[in-house]
Amino acid sequence: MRNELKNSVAYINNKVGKKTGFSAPANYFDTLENSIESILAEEKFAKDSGFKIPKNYFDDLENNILAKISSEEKETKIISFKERVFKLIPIAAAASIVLFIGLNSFVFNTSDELTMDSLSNNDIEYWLDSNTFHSTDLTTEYEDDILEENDFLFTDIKDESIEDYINSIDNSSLLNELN
Amino acid sequence: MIDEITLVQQLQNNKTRDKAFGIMITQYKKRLYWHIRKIVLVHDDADDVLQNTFVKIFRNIDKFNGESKLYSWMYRIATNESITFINKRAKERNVDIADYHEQLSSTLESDVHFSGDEIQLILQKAIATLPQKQQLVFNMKYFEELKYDQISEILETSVGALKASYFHAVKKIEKYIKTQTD
Repeated sequence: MRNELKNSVAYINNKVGKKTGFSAPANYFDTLENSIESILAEEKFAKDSGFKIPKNYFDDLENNILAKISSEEKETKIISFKERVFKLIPIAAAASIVLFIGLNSFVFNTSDELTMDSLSNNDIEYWLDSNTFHSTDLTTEYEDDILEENDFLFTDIKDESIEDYINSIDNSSLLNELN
Repeated sequence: MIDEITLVQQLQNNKTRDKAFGIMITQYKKRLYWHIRKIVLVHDDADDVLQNTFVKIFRNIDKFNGESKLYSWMYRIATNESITFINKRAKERNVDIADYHEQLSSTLESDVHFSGDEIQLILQKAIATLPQKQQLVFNMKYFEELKYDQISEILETSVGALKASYFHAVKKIEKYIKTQTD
């Protein structure tokens, strides 16, 4: 048995050695004395905090709390399930409209139509770099839209409109202006 | 290093107690830590148990009657504290102690304070399969290299019973390692 034990111990020793593999955090042992001494020091502190309570405070505590609870229970307003459901209807309706609009814009707005917003800045810059255009291009583009001087003449405005306007404004400010 | 008899005298004297206690912690902290660590496996738990052990030693130093060596007496307190801790933890998790040991050893791979290699991990797992008494005897004899009469004093068990425990522990561990590695 002795030899058998020796052989087995030798096997374990050869295979594993005498190290456990456990390690402790760095500097753990350096601060241990302080940790233990502070635990012992705490015990020496006075346990009495110095706070005092009114006489019979704890004797009446249960009754005071129970009285408070029962008075709160009486005051509690009972809302029936029906009332609660009715209150929720407008909220639910509003939420479903918002959801519908939201879904429409996300799910159904899938057309491939090109807009300025759908173009990235890089695309626009690239186009401007690769295509030169002249002021004539701009004039042809806007020729039809240019405003004529005649557009500002009062001939087109009806007399009734002018009278309506004069009637609608504050006369006193107009008189002040004339004075 | 102050000798045991002087240390005990200083510890039992009110005037010199605090200073002697500091010396005692410095002198025994590492040995007790590693003894506890092998039982509870996790560093934070070992730290808790070690601190409790020293606090208990301080509170009970007047009861130390010198029948055994101071260091055996401290080892006994450390061992009892460790076992109480393990039992409490197992109870909290609602598992028996054997299962708790096995669960604990399976967490070693991810423990930042376990730097052992694969074979060292296998050895720890093998130890975790042993009954608690065999674990204690194996750790104290194989790793700490204590003599049977020292272990006998600490665990309050006869030398004959310890020899039998150690033999069974070694055979089981050898078998476990063989099945895991061969």
